[in-house]
Amino acid sequence: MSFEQLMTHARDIQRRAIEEELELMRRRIGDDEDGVFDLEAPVESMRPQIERKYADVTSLFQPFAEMPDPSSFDGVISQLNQVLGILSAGEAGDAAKDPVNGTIFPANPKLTKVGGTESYIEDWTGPAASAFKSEFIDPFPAVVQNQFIVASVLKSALEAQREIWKNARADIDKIAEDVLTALDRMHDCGKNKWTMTFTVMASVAAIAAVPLTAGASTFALGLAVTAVGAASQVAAAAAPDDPPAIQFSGETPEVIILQMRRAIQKLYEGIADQEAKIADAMQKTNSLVDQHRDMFVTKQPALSRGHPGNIRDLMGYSR
Amino acid sequence: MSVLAERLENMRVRVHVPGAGLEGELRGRTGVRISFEPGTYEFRTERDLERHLASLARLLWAGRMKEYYAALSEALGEQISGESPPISLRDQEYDGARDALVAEGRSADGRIYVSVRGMRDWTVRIAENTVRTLREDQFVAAVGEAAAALIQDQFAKIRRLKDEIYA
Repeated sequence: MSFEQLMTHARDIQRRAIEEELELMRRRIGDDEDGVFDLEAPVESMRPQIERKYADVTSLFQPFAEMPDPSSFDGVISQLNQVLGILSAGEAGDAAKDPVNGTIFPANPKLTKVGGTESYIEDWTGPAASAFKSEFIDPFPAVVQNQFIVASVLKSALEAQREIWKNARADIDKIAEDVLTALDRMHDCGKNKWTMTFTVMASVAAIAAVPLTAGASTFALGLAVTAVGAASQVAAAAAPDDPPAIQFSGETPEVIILQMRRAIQKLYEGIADQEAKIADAMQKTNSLVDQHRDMFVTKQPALSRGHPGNIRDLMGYSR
Repeated sequence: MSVLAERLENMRVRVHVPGAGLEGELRGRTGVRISFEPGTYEFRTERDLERHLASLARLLWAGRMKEYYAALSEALGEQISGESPPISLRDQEYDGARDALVAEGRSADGRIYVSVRGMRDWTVRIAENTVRTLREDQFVAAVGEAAAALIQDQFAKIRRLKDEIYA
């Protein structure tokens, strides 16, 4: 059944729990009071108390009904894929491969033209010219590669976030379904046991540190970004362990609803745990980029701050 | 209604008793309907019928449990084909009591009586001269009544047992 019916299921659960508990009271009173023909009055008098007991059941599901729609991430992920295409240097080996999920991006031919500018500026000499070469042309391939890596890290983090919401939806839906089944099944001869697997706990895979390209010698060596990805999209070796499964059981509505509360609590914890993995990776990546900006953005040329007041030619005359 | 309840309500189990010219069908939770090979009813004896109906009950119950676990597997999204052994003291107590539980049912006219212990040991008693007294369709209806009564008795007793042990 589908997530869209979650609140309907929640209301059903609340209603069924109340009715089943009233039934239980009916049986108890019927047993205790032999010869009492009108059970309904004493049973109905217990209704307000029982309704209060289960009053919050429906509302427990409300926050989950308001979780973000996983497909709302599709647009921005698709945009980042385009960004990766633009930034792909596409050289042999790993240059054009998404470091998180291994997707190959064909080379963007426009990027290859930067190296070719050298021959066009042979006649240009002076500090600006040599700075252009050393600060822009030479580091260009490495900077592009590092931008590619950061874009890929962002994209994968979004995919991981989307996976959390996808799995959380499936999990809360299953919790509701299982509780409804349990409320039906508790009257059958078998012992009422069921297992819940919290798939949300296996949403986010941690990726081995992705090394940044050192390129020109001014860049720091041995730096790597921490990436996370959606478990369903990374190589099997990087995938997280199997999610935890918990067995629940209950022969009365009270116990079943208690198990339901346990399961919901566990789901909350699972979501928070997985979100923390993404937040952690993002914070680390953010500090790294902050501390080594020159590996990701070439230096601003001095001329860009120039105006007639501060530009002098080789003879010292202003122009 | 949960997926499980819906499947159980629509359940259909059909069995036949080898060599007895007898078939039976269970519909939903309590709907039992037997059928004889045409033209054979009048020649049967009460004792034969008792034996054959007991066999039919066993086969219907086995068929029913198979369907039940299939429905449960679908409802819970995992393969379940039986019960795990009891671990807690309460579970052990429940299993023991359930195995000893006797359920019974009678047709409205009292001619047919069925009982079962632990859903395993079946007993059918048919009053003398029933075959001569009841037409085939009346006999079939009477078996249906007795079976439905037994099934309801079993459910009621299981519920009491669970209330006693778990509530």
